[in-house]
Amino acid sequence: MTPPQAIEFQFDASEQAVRRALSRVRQFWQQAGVSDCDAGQAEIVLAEALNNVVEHAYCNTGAGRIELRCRVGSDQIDMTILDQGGPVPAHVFAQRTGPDTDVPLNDLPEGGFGWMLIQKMTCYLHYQRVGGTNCLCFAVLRGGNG
Amino acid sequence: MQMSSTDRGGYQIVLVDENRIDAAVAIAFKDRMRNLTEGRAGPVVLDLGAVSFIDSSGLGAIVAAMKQLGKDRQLHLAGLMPNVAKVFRLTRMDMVFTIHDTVDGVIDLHADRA
Repeated sequence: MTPPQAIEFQFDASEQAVRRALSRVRQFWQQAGVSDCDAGQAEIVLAEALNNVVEHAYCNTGAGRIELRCRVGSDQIDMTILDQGGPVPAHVFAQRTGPDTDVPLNDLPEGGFGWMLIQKMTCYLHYQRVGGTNCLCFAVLRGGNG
Repeated sequence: MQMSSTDRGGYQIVLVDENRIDAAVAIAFKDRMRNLTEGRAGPVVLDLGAVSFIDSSGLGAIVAAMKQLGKDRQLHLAGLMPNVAKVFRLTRMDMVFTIHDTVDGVIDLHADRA
């Protein structure tokens, strides 16, 4: 029997629902033969993207739905996230440099890491607003070694 | 948030007995760290050996915990799994924290210096 190579489902825009969705996708990746290393990397990117939808697009209201589509290819894992929350501001997609770590303790950043992780871990990243829907497509390469 | 504290070799060891530090528990983690370390002195080792997943919110919470401890109480990290270490590396936060392979490694280092 050929293992499943694609999954598609919807869930509520809440932190707990995101946790359950990630767990479900991890299980799917395992069945699809994705290595632990690649799955670990893909989970971080997916978690950051979904957290952004919950926190920013839906402003942490817990209301709203998220649709996730994932396809495992031979070279990469493709993911699409759809939501009907607020649009993502363009400046978010500006190329990120790492935070300035050579600063006094109290000036260290406690946030702003999410998009940096997404940018560094994806080989493809595309955002489109269609009508009232946010569509974020991205891909993570397979065959990583740590 | 399952976390516990023990004292060894002049260090307060805080063990995170959860496999995720993510957006859902970031605030609980910060609160628990404060409760466990408040009113005490000396360096702290955060044992992350059981944690297999961390996201940017979890990372931010660990940075916040380090700030809360202040300049006089250094925060060491120990036992980072590969996927957790990767998040520290890609955000360059591995330059900010003192990271050890194991809790024993921190204690041994202290013993060498003593």
